[in-house]
Amino acid sequence: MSDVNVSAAFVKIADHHVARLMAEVSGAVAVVVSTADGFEVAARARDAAQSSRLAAMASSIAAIGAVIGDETLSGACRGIFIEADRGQIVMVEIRHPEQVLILTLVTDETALLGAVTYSARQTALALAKA
Amino acid sequence: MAEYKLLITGPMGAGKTTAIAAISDAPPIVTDVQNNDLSVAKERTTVGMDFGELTLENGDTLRIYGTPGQERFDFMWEILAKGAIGLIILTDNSKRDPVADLELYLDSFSTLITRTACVIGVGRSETHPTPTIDDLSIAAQAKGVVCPIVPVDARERDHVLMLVDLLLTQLESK
Repeated sequence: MSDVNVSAAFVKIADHHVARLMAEVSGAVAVVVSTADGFEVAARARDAAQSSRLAAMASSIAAIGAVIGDETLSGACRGIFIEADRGQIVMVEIRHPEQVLILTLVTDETALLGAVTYSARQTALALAKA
Repeated sequence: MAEYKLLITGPMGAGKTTAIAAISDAPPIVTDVQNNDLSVAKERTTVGMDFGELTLENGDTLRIYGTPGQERFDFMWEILAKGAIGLIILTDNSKRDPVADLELYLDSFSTLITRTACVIGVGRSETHPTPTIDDLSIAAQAKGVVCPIVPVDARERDHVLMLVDLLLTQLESK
């Protein structure tokens, strides 16, 4: 990442949380914190090449989720959950006072969606206060 | 009444969201967020898609989708190109290398362009006269694309409607 409007202090904290999630969540394949416009802030992934792509995709999907929330009068989109044949993807908003970011957690099929979601949400809450 | 899907693409800041807003019958759906790319002086940027609808005189409806401009969102380009009847490329002559920008979109959407039709609208040419329409036309022809290339102001409804008309005229002649 270069020339992106996120403080170095926040990047350091995000990197710490991302590393912890990757180590602690059973079945974690990738963890990415990204800006709302798709720039990677911190990431760990079994396939490192995947993380910048995930950052951009999380941005698009979160933005579409936000519009759907608005259009259906359901309110702001807090998270998006994808259940796939060989894994799960959880994306949750990090509502930091300076800007909204996105935490994406990808797991293999061994992970439990509830546990993954809980871990992602707790991390997002911690980062929102960072 | 028939419904058709039309796609607008081009670099960040070329006016895709503005163009859709200029012709949509209802307020368009936009997925813009805070821009964090400090190399581009723009407060917000589209990251998912834009969407508007335009009812034609014959009652047919155009569903108009706009892509994010940045190449990192090229997965959305593929998704949005599915089922489109044609492509409008908006370029921005105030950018560093508008010819390279045009080439990127011609390459990325080559399958759609070959199958359907394409029109190129050149923005900010009144303040940035180069590259000329001829320069851009030569670049397009080098990519095997021969299509209308016209100066436009994406804020002007009549200009954007002209692009749509040019696209539909090409499709009718196919």
